[in-house]
Formats: sequence, C-alpha cells, structure tokens
Amino acid sequence: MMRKRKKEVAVCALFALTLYGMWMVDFLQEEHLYSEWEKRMLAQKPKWELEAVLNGSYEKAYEEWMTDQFPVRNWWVGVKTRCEMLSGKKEINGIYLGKDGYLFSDQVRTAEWDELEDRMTEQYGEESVSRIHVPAAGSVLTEKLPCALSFPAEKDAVWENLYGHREEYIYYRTDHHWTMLGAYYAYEAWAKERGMEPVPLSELQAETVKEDFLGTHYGRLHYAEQPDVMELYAPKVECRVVYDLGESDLTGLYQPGLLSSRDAYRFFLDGNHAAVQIDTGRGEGHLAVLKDSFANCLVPFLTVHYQKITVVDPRYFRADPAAWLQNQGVTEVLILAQDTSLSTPGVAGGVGVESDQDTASAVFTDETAVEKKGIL
Amino acid sequence: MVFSSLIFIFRFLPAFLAVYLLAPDRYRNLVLFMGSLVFYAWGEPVYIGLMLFSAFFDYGNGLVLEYARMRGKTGLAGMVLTGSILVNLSLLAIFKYSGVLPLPVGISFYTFQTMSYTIDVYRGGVKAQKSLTAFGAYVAMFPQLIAGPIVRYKDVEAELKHRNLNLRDGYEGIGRFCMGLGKKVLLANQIGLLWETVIKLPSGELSMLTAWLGSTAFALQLYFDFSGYSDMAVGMAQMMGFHLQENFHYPYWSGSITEFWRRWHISLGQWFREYVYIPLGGNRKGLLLQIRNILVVWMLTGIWHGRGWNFLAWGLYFGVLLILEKWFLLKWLSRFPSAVGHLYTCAAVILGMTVFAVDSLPDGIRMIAVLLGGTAKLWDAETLWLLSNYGVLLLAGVFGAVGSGKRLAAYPVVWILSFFLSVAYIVDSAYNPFLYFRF
Repeated sequence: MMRKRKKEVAVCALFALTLYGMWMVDFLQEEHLYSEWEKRMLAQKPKWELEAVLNGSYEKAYEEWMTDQFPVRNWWVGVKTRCEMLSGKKEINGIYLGKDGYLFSDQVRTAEWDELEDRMTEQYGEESVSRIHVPAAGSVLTEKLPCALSFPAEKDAVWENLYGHREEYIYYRTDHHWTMLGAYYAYEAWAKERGMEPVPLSELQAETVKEDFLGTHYGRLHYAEQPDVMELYAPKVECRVVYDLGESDLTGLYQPGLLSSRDAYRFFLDGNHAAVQIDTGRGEGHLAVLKDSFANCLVPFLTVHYQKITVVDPRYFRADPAAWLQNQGVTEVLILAQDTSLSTPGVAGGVGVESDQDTASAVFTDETAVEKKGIL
Repeated sequence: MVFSSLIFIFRFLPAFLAVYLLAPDRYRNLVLFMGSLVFYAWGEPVYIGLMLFSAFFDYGNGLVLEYARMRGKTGLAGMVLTGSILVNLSLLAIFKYSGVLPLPVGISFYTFQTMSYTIDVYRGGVKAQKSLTAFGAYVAMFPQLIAGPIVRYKDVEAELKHRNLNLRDGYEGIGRFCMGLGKKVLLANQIGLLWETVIKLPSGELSMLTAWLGSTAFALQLYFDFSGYSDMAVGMAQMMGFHLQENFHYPYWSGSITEFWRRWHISLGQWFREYVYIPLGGNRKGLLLQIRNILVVWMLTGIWHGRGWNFLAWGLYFGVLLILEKWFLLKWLSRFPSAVGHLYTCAAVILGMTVFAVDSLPDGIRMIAVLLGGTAKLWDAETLWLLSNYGVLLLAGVFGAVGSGKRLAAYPVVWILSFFLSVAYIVDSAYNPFLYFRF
C-alpha cells in the first residue's frame, strides 16, 4: 500500500516537474534569432495586441514562436530520427538512409537549365557550349542505396566516369554534394569529351581540410553514422579572384575561415555568389560557368585551362546573365548543375537571409526580388 | 488547440491544472468552464458564441422542461423538447452540412451532449441543472470538446456537483494521457504516412498488396488517432476528478461487425441506441420495423461523421452487414473456429474504412476494386519498399490494436517513454529545414 502510494507521488511529481520545468527553461533561455541548420530566421515572441488576439493571428504567432524556440530542438529531432531508425524506417524527413552511413535525397528535375543551355547555344554556337549534368548521389552509388530503392540515371560520359569510380569517396555521406574527388572525375570526363588534356590527379595538391564535416542531410536528421572528411585537391595555379564585381572583399578560391562554420561546404568559392571572376594569367580563352553549388569544388580544376573564368549563379543573379555576359568577351560556356529548380532561395521561401543572399542583393540592386525570380 | 501540440502540453495544461487544483472546490466548475472557453477560443475565437448559445439555450430548456414536467404540462414540455432538438439539428445542418461555412470544432459532440440532456430531463431521468457554470462546464469541458467521448449528462451529474481530487486519479489520469498521446503521435501520425503515400499513387499503378497495406494503415491510423484522443480525454478528466466511460474497447479484436460496433466509439453507438433506435421501437415491433430502425440509425451514424455521399454509403454498408449478421451470418459464423470471424471482421472493417478515408464515393469504389483484385499486379517494388519502411510499425500497430500491449501500458516507465518520444516527434514535425536550403 505504502509502496503504491510512493509510486503515485513520484509519477505525479515527475509529470508536474516536466510541464512546469520546461516552461521555466523556455522562460529563462535566451531567444535564438537564426537556425543555422534550417537556414531560416526563427519566429520571435509576438506582441500582445487585442486585435491580433481576436483575429487569431496572435495565437498563431505564439505557437510558431514556441515551437521555433523550444529548448534543444535539434536534440529532439535527433531523438526522433533514432527512434524511427529503430522501427526500421529507411526514409526519414525526406532523407533515405543507405548503407555505410550514406544519406541520400531526391532530386526534382526541371527543364529550366535546358532552356538556359538553348539560349547560350543560340548566342555562342554549339561548339562553344558544353554541359555537365551532375548526377544525384543515389544514381551513382547504387550499391549504397537502401534495398528496394533505385534512382534514375542519365548515363552520359560524366555519369559513366563517376560510376566507374563509385567505390571511391566521391560523394559526401552527410551532404547532398559530391566531394572534390567526385567533381574531379566529372571534370576528367568532360575535359576528355572536349578534347582537352585533364590535369592528372597526381599533379594536384591533396590535403585534408576538415575531418568532421556534417552536411545538409545531417541537418535534416541530426543523426549521422559518421561525419565526412573534406578533402582538397588543389591545382597549382595562382589566381586573382574577384567576388560580386568587387563588392565583396573576399579573395582566393578557398575560404578556410568557413571550415568551422555550420556550412563548411562554403569553403569552396565561399558558397554561392551571383558572380565570381577568376583571372589565372595563364592559358587562354574566357570560360563562363553557369552553375549551381556543385560547381564550387569543380571550378578550381578549370583554372588549369583558361585565362579567365567567370562563374555565374543565375539563381542569385538579378539581371539577365546572358545579356550581361555578352559584354564580357566570353569564348566558351559551361553549364553545370543538378538540373534542379532555379528558383532563388530567398524569393521562394520568403525568409532566407543567408549571407549568400545578402551578397547577391549587393549586386544589381536595381532589380527587384520579384523580377529576380523570373530571370529565365 | 489540439492536445498533441507543444502549446497545449507545455502551456495550457500546466496553467489550467495549476489554477484548477489551487481553486477551492466550489469554484472548480467555473475554472473548468472558463478554461474550456480559452481552450476553444484559442486561435479561432469566432465560433465560441455558437457554443455558448448552445449551452445557454439548452440550460434554459432544461429549466423549462422540468417546470413543465412538475406541473404536468406535457404539451409545453413536448414543445420545448421539439424546439431544443430542432435548433440543435439546425445548427448541425447549417454548419456541418451546408458546406458554405467552415466547420466549428466540436459541434457534432456538444450538440449531441446537450440533446442528451434535454431528452433526459424531459423523460424525467435527470434533474435540471440549476447552476449555469456547472452546465457550462459540462458542455464545454475541454478534454472531450473536440473529439469526444460524447458524455451523457446523467453520467457526470453527480461529479458535476462534487468530485474528489486524489493522488490515485492523478496518477492514473497521467498514465492515460501519456499513453493516449503516444497512440496519437507515435502510432496514428506515423502509420498515417503510409496511407498518405499509398493514396497518392495513381490507382493504375497500385498493386493489390500495396492497396491492402494502405487501407490497413488507414484503419489503424483512425483507431489510434481516435482512441488516443479519447484516452487523453479520459485521462485529463480523471486528473480533474471526472470518471468518463471508455470509448473504445479493442474493436479490432472482434468476431463480428455487431461486436465491433459495441467496442468502437462506444459513446456514439450508445447515444444512437438510446435516443433513436429504442424510441423508434428497436427490435420489439417485428422484423421489418427492426430492419428499418437499423437502417435509419446507420444512415444517421454515417452522416454524423461528415458531409459527403461516401459517409452515407459507409454507414449503410455497416447497417446492411449488421442486418445480415442478425439474419443468418452470426449463426453461420459460430460453426467455424473463431479465427474465421476475426478475419471476416477485419476484412469487412478495412474495406469499410477505405470508403471512409477517401474524398469521394467514386474514389472509394476505385480503391475497393483494387483491394478486391481488380488490378494486374499482386505486388511490386513499391510494396516491398513500403513494407521495409513500415513493417515494424504496422506490426506494432496491429499488436497494440488487439490489446497485446495492455500489460505494458500499466508501467509508468512506458508512460514516461511514450510522453518523451511524443514530444520529440512533435518538435520534429515543426522542424522545417528551409525548402530550398540545398543551394
């Protein structure tokens, strides 16, 4: 009887402690402004106004604030991921859990990059325009996929070369990007197709720059079997690099300072910029690269071949990139992307105030954000 | 407000319980009434007037009915009762079935509750409630306001007047609440993802086993969702000193549809039985009238669940099965081992729930056709993929639904785990990595 009573007291006390304790923690903790993993601003405490209460908007804002500011959110997400894994789930929060710690995500194909290619071909002629379709990790690392799952693959030369090296470390486990080694194999296949001599892997300066890289897939699950190792294969080429037409003070192809940030992939070319101009002072020709983030770790290999490289990210470029390039003396064009949507993060989501976005808006500020969305 | 939200668990519930437990006994109905109004008005204050009207209206009706009954004015009593029922049904007709206005939360529940009250006062089964706050607390009582159970006034009459608060009830109530939360968040919502995946596949690409996986998932989702909510309601009411009746009793462990409906949404079945079926004559007026009565009750049960022909069809489907069972099926089933009855019940319920799940009757018919083998493939790669993702969860769901986990649910450790994991799942569902974050 007495023991039963003790149990009752314990359970009631624990329940009360949990409910009121969480409230206290919530009350005492400092508000977070920005979620680095989600890359979005978090909701802030709404102001109490009678009108807002009556039309329900205060309540809605309060709930958003409470969920966004919930103590140790990321930790809770990790708990949920592990629990779902225990139940045998292979697809969690849109991420597929493959073998050997590989995480995969879907790729949504759009025709927008094709349209861009058509326009460039019209402008520069078929000879001068080339294309690298970046295969999704799942279409290359077929053996790492969870059972009963397959990804469609476009079996071109780039895919063939990557597939041939699928035993190597060519895609990150915890991120959707390829590694610099993966980018190298894509570059190798592309260069051969273009009749160029790719720089041999042995001539590149290999260096491990980060041993505990956790990428975007990790950010969705807050779980990873093992973190990634980020390797650099640097061609020995001295470059002068100008970001965003000189509106940014950054220089160099790599940004070691960002390796310790949440978004370590920005080590390459400082992530996404509207325009990056590279001058090698050697070789010949002026290559324009219209690209998404997959190009960031491939562009260094191109410095071996061209005197000038202009890297343009149409998603951040507020004007018409084709029109702008016309006056730059471009001789060749490479389109390199994973064929996913061209919509700009900031415009589509409405809240993205990533540093990327800030720098992008620093360029061509005469265009409005809405027009930016309709660049193509 | 929904129970399975952070705002409810970590704000409303602790705040309400603190005030409720600290208030003197005589103010507790008032606290409950006011707290329930806050709960109801949170985020959608428009319809609070409707609920208050319903409560005040039938509070008044109760007083007049009792007066008329005492004075032997049967004419007046009849008129008032008819008026009460007509107004309640009109509210339902306008807000639920006209399709023009957004559905006020809980209207199907509180109109049925207040009708049970006026009918019982009319019959002399209960005394009219003199206290407006007590009656308001009964109508608006937030644990059962949005998803039942439909509490009959006579069942809580005594506890509305006085209830004991004790540690035992708190302890058991907490357990019920935690397990109910887990049923809703960990089982219903997760198994529901399987159904959502399946229903999104084009019906031409659906293999028969995939369709069965999907429909089974929906049947389980509906059960855990609904019974989880009922458990939370019963649990929270118990923390406050109310003892509500059980609304579910492992319905999927039934040997016939007749038994299934005695175990599923018990308070609704009871309501229709008491206030429609028996007044119509029940089974005492010959076979033909009994069949009519069953069909009327099941048509009403069907449309009570929602607007749309599929709900009517769903109700009639069960009505017809019940008639067949009374006619010969039950006798016939009793000649076989009990497993046959269980299988027949599960299959019949899953088929029925499929009609309930879809958006329209033609969709339901298409889905049923696939379930019954009207498709080229028995199974395909999709089936395997879904099975590998949801196999364990489905199995856990099936065991839970037939009551194999009953013993587990008695351990406080399991309650804590259920609560804790539910919070993790709720937090995760609001974790939105920026849609275009990849670039």
